Amino acid sequence: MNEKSNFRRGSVELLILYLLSQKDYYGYELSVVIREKSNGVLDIPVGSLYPALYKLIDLGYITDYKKQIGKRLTRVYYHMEQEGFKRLDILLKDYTLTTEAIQNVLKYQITGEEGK
Amino acid sequence: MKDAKSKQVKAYIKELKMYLPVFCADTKRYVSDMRQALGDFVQENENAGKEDLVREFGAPKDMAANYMIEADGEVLGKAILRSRYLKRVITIVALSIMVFYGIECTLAIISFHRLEEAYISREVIEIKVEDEYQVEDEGQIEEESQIKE
Repeated sequence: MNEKSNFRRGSVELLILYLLSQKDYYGYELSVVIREKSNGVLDIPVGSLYPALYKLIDLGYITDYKKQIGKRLTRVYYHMEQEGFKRLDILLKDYTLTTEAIQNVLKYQITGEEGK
Repeated sequence: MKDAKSKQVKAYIKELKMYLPVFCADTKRYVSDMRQALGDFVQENENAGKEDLVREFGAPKDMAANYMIEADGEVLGKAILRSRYLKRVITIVALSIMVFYGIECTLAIISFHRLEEAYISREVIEIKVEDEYQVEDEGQIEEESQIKE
């Protein structure tokens, strides 16, 4: 992934890989599911989602394939690869560690003695 | 109804293309995927209009900006440099062709004027020659008739 990855970009990668570990999705469907399951809190525009998907394809974590839907419509579906599962494990562990660490910091309150 | 929807999608994509600074393989794939996503939205929402498309996906210029932010900087940078290089080459070739044809046209005009003058002078000479022949012929005829007599 990009060296300049920030928190949101990291989250997008995690969310995409997690959803694709469940089943194959097409681009717009991914965007809708993320928005619906997060109760509208995480609204990742499709315009941002596709470049993230391309990066994951380039890195070999996922692949894409075309599927004929009806007579005229063809959709591009994304499929998780073995490397993607490994990457998801790393990201989930990192996410858990980071959120725990953040929670610990947020729980911390300066006591009277430390304040002096 | 379907035609109207596909026109909306086409108009959106056209505007999106306008805001993308380069059109390389990656942007082509992006535009194709966006067309598909817009098509999916339009199919799932029967009464969707242009405003609904903008509400769901954002304005085309925002969409292009999103792509620019998220796209691979290295790939995009190379594409922009390639595009600039191509534009320069095309400009140089176009200018060269214009200069070449400009010179060609100037030379053609000059030679046309020369030919025009040459034609007129030849015409004058021919008329003169004809007159001389006529005079000569008339003289010869007179001489022959005198001999006969």
